[in-house]
Amino acid sequence: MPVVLQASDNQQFTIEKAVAERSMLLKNMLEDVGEAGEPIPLPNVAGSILKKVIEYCEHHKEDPVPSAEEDKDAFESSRRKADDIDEWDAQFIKVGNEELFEIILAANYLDIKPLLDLGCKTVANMIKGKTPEQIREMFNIENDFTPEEEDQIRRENEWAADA
Amino acid sequence: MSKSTIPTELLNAVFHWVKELRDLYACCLVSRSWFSSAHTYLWGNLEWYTDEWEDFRNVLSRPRHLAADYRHSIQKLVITTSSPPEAGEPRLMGLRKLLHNCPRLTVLNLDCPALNDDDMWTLSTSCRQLRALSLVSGSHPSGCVTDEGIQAIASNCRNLCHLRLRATCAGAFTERAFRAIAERYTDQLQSFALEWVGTHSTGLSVYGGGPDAERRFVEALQAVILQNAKLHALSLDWPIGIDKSLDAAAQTLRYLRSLRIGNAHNTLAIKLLIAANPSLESLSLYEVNLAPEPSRFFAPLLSNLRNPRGPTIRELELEGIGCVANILPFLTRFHSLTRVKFAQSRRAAFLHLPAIDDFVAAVARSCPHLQSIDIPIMTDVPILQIAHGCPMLEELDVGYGKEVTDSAIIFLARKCPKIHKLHLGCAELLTDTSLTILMESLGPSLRRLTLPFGNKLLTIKTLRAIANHCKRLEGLANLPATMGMRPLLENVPKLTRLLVLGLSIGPHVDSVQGWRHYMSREEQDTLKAACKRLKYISYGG
Repeated sequence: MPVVLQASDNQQFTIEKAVAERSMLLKNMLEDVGEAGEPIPLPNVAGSILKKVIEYCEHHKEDPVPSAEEDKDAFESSRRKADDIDEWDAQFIKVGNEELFEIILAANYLDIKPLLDLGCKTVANMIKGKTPEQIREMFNIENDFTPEEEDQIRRENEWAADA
Repeated sequence: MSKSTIPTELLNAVFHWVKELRDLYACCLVSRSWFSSAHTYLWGNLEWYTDEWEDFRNVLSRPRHLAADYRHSIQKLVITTSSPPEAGEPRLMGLRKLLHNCPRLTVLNLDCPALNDDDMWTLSTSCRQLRALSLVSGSHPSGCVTDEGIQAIASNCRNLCHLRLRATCAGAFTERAFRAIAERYTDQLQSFALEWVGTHSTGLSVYGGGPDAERRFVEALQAVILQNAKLHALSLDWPIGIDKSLDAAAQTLRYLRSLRIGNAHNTLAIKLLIAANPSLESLSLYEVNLAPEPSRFFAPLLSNLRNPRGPTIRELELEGIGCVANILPFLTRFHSLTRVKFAQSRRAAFLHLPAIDDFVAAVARSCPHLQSIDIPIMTDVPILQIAHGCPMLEELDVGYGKEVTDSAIIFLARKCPKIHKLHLGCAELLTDTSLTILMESLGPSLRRLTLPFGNKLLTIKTLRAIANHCKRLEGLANLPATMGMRPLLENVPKLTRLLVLGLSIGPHVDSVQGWRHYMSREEQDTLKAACKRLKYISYGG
C-alpha cells in the first residue's frame, strides 16, 4: 500500500510504505491512523526538499533499524567520528548551505536520525580547522559579543586552543 | 551568496559531531548563541593531565565570574597521570570541591590516587547519577580508598553500570567492598574491573588476612560476577582470588566483549571463558601460560555461528606470553584487528626470533585496519609492509629495530600520516636524513616520540627538525644528552606542549665520562623555565 505525502507547496509524492517508515514521525502516524490512503500533509517541508529526503529514504530503505546508542566501555574514548560518511551519502549531501540546512531541519522534523546525523556531520566537517571569523563568514553569522565578553571567553577556554 | 544560517535549535546536534577541542573552541568564539551551546560540548567531556589540574582549578575556582558556570556542563571527567612514576603520586587539591558542583557528571575516571573514603561519601551523595567510576586507591591518606568508600558508592550511586577499581596495595579492599557491590548491583553492571597496579616488590605480602579472609574475599568477588551475568567487560588482575573467580566467570558470562586477565594460573577457566564468549572484541592476557597449545585459546574466536561475518576481535594484548611464534600465524586471520601488542614478560627477557619479522609483515598485510602495533621487530621487512598495508596506523613501537634503515622509516613517514606515537627501539642505523623527513611529515600529529636508544649517528639536525615541526609533542625520550645544554635551550622551548623530556647518556659513553653530560639542578631549572609546560627531565642509560 503506497503512502502519499503532501509538501508545504501542495506538491504530492507517492512512495512505498517501507520508504516512508524511515521517518519515525510517519511510521508512528501510519501505525496510529492505519492506511487511510489520504495524503499526509507536511506543512514544514517544501516540495524540493521533500524530494531530496525521499531520495535518501529510497536509497536506505533496506538499512537495518539503528540500535539505540549504547555506552560501550565507558572508560575508552568513543570512536564516533564525523568523517566516516559513505560514498553515496557524501555525494547526496553535496548541496548548498541553504539546502543543507533545510534538509537537516526536515530530517529533524520527520525524525530520520541517520539523515539528521549525516547533515550535522557535514556541517561539523565544514567547521573543522576554521577560525571563528571564517565560521561567521561561512554561515553568515553576526559577531554579537562585546570586546570584553570575547576576551573573557578566549581567556577561560584557551586551554582548548592547542590541545 | 547564501544568506542561510544554521538554525539555533540544531546547533547542539551539530556540535555533537565536532570532536576536536580546537574546533569547539573556535565555535565558542563565533557568537553568543554559538557560545551558549558550544561551551557545553567543550566542557562536557574533559580529559586532563594531572599537570594541567592547577590551571583548570584556577579557572573554575571563581564560578560567579565566569562567562558560564562550566562545572555544570561536565559530564565526563578523565584525569590522567602525566608525571613519571618516580615523581610520586600527584596531589589534586580541590578536586573534591569541584566534584561536589558537577550535577551532570556521569563518568569519572581517575588514573591516580586522588580521592579517599571521605571524598567517596561526598562524591556519592553529590553525584548520585554517576554511571561509570574508575579510581585508584593509593597508600597516602589523601588517596586511599577502602571498603568504606566502596560501600558509600554502592549505597548512593544506584545507576552505576561501570566500575573499575585499581589499587597500589592489595590490602585496600576486603570482602566487605565486594559484598556491598554484589548486594547493590544485580544484573546492572556492564563493566567490572579489579586491577592491582602496585609494583611486585610492594603489594604481594601486604594482604595478611589469612586463608579464612581469603575465602570470604573470593566468595564476595564471585558473587559480583554471578549477580551480573550480562557483564560485557571484565578485567581481573589481582594477587589473590583470581583463579576461583575465573571459574565463576566461565560458568556465568556469555556476553563479554572485553576481557583482561592477569595474575591467573587457572588456564582451563580462561580457555572456557574465551570459548563461551566468541564475540570478544578486546582480549588482554598478562603472564598467562598458554602452553602447550596456544591455538586452543584462539580457535573459538575464529569461527562461530554467532560471528557470521568472521572474527570480531579488534584488540589483542599479550604480555609475558611465550610461544609468540605459535600465536602470530593466527593473527593473520583476525582481519578486523585494530590494536595488537605483544610485550615482554615482566619476569623474563623477550627473545627475538627471525620468524617474528615475517609474521608481523603477514599480519600487516592481512589486517588493513591496524591502528596500533607494538611487537618487537628487528628489520625493515615488517616496517615496509606496515607502511604499505596500514594507512590508519596511529601508534607504532618497533621494540628492537636494530637493523631498521633510513629508507624504511622514510617510506613509513610518507605512508602513515596519522602516527602520533612512535617508539624507535634501538634502531642504531637511523640517521638525521630519515628523522628529518619523519618530523616533516608526522610533525603536526606526533605527540609521543622515543628516539632510537644507543644511536650514535643522530645530531642536532634531528633536534632542530623536532623543534620546528612537532608542535603537539608531549613526550620526547632518548634525546642524546651529549648534545649539550646550548642546543637544548635553543630548541626545546619551541615545543610548547612538551611535558616530559628524557635524555639518554647512551651505552657507548662510559659511566665516569657520562657524568659530564648530566645537567645540574640549575641548568634543568633554566631549561624548564624557558619552556611553557616542561615539568619532568629524566636520564636514561
